[in-house]
Amino acid sequence: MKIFRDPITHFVLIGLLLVGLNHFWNAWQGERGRTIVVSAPEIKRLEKIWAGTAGRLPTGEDRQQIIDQYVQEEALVREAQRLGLGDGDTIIRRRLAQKMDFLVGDRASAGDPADAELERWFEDHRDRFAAPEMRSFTHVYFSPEQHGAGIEAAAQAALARLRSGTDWKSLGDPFIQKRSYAAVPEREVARLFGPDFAKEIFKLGAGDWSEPIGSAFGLHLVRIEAIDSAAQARFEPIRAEVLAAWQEEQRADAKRAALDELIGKYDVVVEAEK
Amino acid sequence: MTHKFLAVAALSALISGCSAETSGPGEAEIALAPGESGGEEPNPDRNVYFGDLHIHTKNSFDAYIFNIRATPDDAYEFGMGGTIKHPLGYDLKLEGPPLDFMAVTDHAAYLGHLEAMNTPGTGLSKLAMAKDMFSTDPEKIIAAFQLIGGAVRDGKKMEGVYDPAIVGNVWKQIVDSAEKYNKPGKFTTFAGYEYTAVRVTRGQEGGFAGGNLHRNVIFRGSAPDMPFAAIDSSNPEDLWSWMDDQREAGNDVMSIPHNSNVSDGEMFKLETYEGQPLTKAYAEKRLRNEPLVEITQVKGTSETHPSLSPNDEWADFEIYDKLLGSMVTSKTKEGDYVRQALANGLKLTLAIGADPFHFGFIGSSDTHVAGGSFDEKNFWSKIGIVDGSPEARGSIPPGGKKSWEGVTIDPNAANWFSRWSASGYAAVWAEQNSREAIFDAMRRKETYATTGTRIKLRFFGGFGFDAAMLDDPQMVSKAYKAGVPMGGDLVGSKAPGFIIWAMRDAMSAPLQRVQVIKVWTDGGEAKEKLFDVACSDGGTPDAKFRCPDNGAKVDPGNCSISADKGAPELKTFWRDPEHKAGQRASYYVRVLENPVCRWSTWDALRAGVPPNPALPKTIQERAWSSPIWYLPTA
Repeated sequence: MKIFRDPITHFVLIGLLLVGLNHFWNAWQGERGRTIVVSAPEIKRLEKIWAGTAGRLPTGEDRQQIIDQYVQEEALVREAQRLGLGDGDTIIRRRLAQKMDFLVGDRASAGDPADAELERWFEDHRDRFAAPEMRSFTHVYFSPEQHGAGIEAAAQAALARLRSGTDWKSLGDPFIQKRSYAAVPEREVARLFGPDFAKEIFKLGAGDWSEPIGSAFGLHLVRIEAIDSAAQARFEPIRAEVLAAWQEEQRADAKRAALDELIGKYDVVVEAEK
Repeated sequence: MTHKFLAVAALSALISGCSAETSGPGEAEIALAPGESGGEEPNPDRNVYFGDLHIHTKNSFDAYIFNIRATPDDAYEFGMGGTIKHPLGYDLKLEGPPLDFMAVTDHAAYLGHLEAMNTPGTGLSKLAMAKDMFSTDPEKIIAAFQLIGGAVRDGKKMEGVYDPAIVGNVWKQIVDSAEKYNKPGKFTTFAGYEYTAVRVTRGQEGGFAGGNLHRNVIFRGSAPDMPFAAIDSSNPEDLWSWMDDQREAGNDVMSIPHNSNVSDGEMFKLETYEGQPLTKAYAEKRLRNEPLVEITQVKGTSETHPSLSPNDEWADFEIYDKLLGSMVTSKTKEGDYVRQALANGLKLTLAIGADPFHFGFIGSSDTHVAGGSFDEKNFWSKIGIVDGSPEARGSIPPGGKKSWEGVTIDPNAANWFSRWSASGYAAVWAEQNSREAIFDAMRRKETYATTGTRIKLRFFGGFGFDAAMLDDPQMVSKAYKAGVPMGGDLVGSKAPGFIIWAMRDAMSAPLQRVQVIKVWTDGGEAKEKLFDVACSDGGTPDAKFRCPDNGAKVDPGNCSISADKGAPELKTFWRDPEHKAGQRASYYVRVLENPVCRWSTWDALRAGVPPNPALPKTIQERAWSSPIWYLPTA
C-alpha cells in the first residue's frame, strides 16, 4: 500500500502517537499529583524544628497544625510547578544546583586510612599544618616627636650603648603599648606596628640588637628573644586534625571526579560572540 | 627576678620548646619593665582592650526582618577574626586585629519572635501577622512589621503574639553562647541584651516619632533566667530597680544608654520619667546602674551638636538627628548630648547633692548583621539587605547613573543611611582580659570611645603632677599612685595637672591634635571650653588655644593621605590656664587624627562616580576619654 510509504502519513501517525503518549503521561502525573503523603519521618523532622524554636515539644493540636502547614505548602508548591512558576527563576535554579552539588559531594565519602598511610600523607603536606612562625621580641622605642631630625642619631647612640652592655630598660622613650611581646605572628605585628616593621623583624636572627627599624610610630631597636618557627608541626599531637584534612581532601577529589563525570555526560557548546 | 619573668620564661619555653638554644645571650634580660605585660599575667599598670558591646543577631526582631540569619556564635566568631556572611552574600571580616571583648545585645522585647513566626508549624507562624510578615507583598510586610515595632515602642505584650517561653529559650541560647566563647586571658564575652524603651512624644502626619531611651544591659558574670524588657516597663527607672534586685541576687549588671542624640531631649532630661523633679535618690540609683554612656556608633555621635557648641570647630562630626524610624528631627536644645549633660550634672550636684550624669564614655557598633562595620575603607552599614549596597545607602547615584545631577535619592537613604557612620569601639584599661577586670574597669569608668580607630589614649589627673613625669619610664605607675586615671574624681583644694598621652593606630591616619574639653557651671549657667593642648608637626597652641593647621590633605582621586603630616604620638602635661579655685569642673580629652576619606567617598571611588555632594567627603577619626572631675574641697 502506497499510503503506508507516504512520508506525510508517517508524519501524521507519529504525531498521533506522541499526542496519545502525552495524554497518558499527564493522566498518570495527575493521579500522583493529587496525593500528598505526609510521611512519619517528615512529621518527626518538622516537630524537631518546631521544638527548637518554641522551646517545648508540640502537643496534639500543635502537631495537627504542623501537618496542616506542611500540606498547604506542598499543595502550593505543586500548583506553582504545574504553572511553571519556577522556570527561569534564578534563585530556584541556583538552589537546585546547590542541592545537587551537595548531593554529589555527599556521595563522595572518605574512609579511615592506615596510620602509616596517613603519616606519609602528613609528611607530604607538612606545611599545611605548621602554625605560622611566631616571634617573641623586645624593642626600644624612639619617638619622632621627642627627637625630630636627630632621631636616627639618638637610636644609633643607644644601639652603641646596648652593644656595650647597657640595660635596654634604661634606654629609649616610653612606649604606650608593650615593650616586650611574646609569641606573635607576623600578621599580628603588622596590625600593631605596620607591615614594614613586621617584615623587617621577621628577617632578623635571634639574640642581637638590630639596627634602627621604622614603624608607624617611629624608630625601634629590636632584639628577637625567641623564634618559634613554622616547621615544627609533629604528626602525633595533631593526628585528629591530619585525619580530618585527609578526609576532606579525599572528599574534594571524589567530588571533583563525580562532577567531571556528570558534566562529561553533556555536550557543551560555547557559542562565540557574533 | 619577679614572678612575671618566670611566667614569660615558661611561656617562651613552651612556645619554642628549646628556648635555651634559640635565645640569645640576653636571655636573662627578658624581664619586663614595670608597666608591661608578657601575656596573661595581670598588669598593675593596665593594658588597653578594644571591644564592641552592641551587637544584634537574628534574634532581634528588626534584624531578622532584614534577612539577618547570623547567630550569637557567628558574632563571636567574627569578633575573634573569623569571616561571616552579610545577608547580601558577601563576606564580613574585621580589618584590624581581633576584638578583645564583646557582648551580643539583641532586643529583649519580642526576642526570637520573628524566627518563630517564620518557622512552619509554630503557633506564631499561623498568625495573620506572620503570614503578612513573610509574604512577598512589601506593603503587607511593612504593616506587619509595624505591628511588632509599635508594640516594642508602646511597651505592649500583644495578646496571642508575645510568648515568654520563646524569650526565655532564646535568652538561654544567648547566655550559653557567651559562656562558650569566654576565654579568660584571651577573649571576654558578656551576657547582655538591649532594653529598647522609647518615649512616644510626637508624630508627623499621623506617623510615629519618639525619644530613644535604649540601653544595653551587660552582666558581669551570671545572668537571670529572663531579661527585663521594654515591654515590662518603658520607664528606665523600673529597669534600674530590677537591676538593683539582680545585683542583690548575685547577678552584677550595668546598663549603658546609647543614641541620646535621637532621644528628643529625653535621655538626659532634668526631670524623672514621670515628670517629677530629680532627687538625690534618683541620681544615686542612676549612677549605680549607669556608669557609662555609648557616645559613638553607626547612628551618629552623641558628644555634642554644633548648635550647642558653636565655638567647637570639630563639633559638626557625624551628626545624626532623625528620631527612630521617622523623618522628625530630634530636639537638640536640651537632653540629647553628653557634654551638656556633664555640665547639668555639676549644676545638679549643687542643687540636690548628687550628679546623675557622672558618667564615662564608650563607643560600640550597634550592628544588626552580627559584625560591626568599623572601617571607612570597607563599610557595610547596619541593617542587612536594606542598606547593604552603596546604592541603597546613598553613596552612589541610583540606577547606575554616573552623576548626581538631577537624580532623586530615596528619602531613607538621604535622611538615614547616608548619614550613618563606620563606628565605633569601646576601649577599656584593665589589668587583664577577663570578665571581672573589664567589667570593673567599666564600673570605674576607665574607658574611652573611638570612631573605629584603635588610638591608644592615657589620661591622668593629679595635684602633684609636673612636666618632668612625661619622660619618666615609671610615669604610668607614678600617675596611678599620685593621681587618678580617666573616669576618676580629683578631690582636693589645689590646682590639678593632667598628663595626656595618645598614640596613633598603625592601620589608620597619624594624629593631628589632642584637645581638652572643660565643662563647668557659672552662676547656674552651663559653660564649656575647648583647648588644643598638643599639636603635631612641631606646632604649639596659639593664644586662643588652637594648633596651627598642619596641612594634612586627602587626595580625592584615590583617598591617599599626606605621608609626611601628623604625629605617631602626642604627649603633654597640661594645666587649666583658667583654673578657678573652688569651681567644680570636668575635663575630657579628644584626640583627632588627620583627615581620611569618609566611607561614602570610598564607596563612590570604587564605583567610579563622584561622592554624594550632600555628604562630607572626609572625616577626622577620633577618640574621646571618659572625664576626670575636679571636685574642690574648699
